[in-house]
Amino acid sequence: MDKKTTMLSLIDDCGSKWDCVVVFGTMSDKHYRIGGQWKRMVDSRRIHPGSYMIIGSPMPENHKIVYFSTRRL
Amino acid sequence: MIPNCFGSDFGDEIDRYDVLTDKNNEFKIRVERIDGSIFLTKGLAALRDFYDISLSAWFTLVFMGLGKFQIKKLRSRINRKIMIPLFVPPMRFAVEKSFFPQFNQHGFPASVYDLSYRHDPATFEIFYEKHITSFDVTFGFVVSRMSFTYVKCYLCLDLH
Repeated sequence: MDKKTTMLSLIDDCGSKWDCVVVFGTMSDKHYRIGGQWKRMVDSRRIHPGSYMIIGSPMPENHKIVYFSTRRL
Repeated sequence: MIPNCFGSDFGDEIDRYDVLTDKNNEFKIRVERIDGSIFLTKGLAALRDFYDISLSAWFTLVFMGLGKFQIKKLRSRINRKIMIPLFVPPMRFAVEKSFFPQFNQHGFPASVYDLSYRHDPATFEIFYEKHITSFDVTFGFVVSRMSFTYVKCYLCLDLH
């Protein structure tokens, strides 16, 4: 992912799109903080702590759209 | 699936996407047609997590015109009322429009099970796994090291 990326579209396994704001390097280097609609996504999809999220991307260049699917424990 | 008799009468009013609404929230769902029948495919699974439907549920769809349906009388399988979760501002689910499946609107898929939405395995060529902690759930953001250095996941095979 590019350091200048500010917006990110997360596509979940239902096909819904969530527009998230990305901030690079908040805690330390090489970390991204994803905000925006993340909290609404967690609440509406009922994601609980402990579950896994598998993030995937089709192409190495374009990371504006990122696919993910969750697995519950 | 919306039955064929409805599709012959009102099918021209339904475009590629239609909208299901309850009192506040809105779900945008992709429509695919096979042989005159209308299938609601992509985005419909968002109802499952949103209303916390575990087995199955009953609901009435009232056609409002121009591709809008209203969800009424939402009941679980054992006829218990399902509470609508309150979100302020109301939730509006959107679907990604760039993705199109292999078959087009007039083609036939190999089976109807191909219609149910799932991720294309090609979208998981580069992948990264994140363990969701309580920090990520309670606060409004997630901090992740998304470097995408892992190539070619084998896990994408058993995602379905």
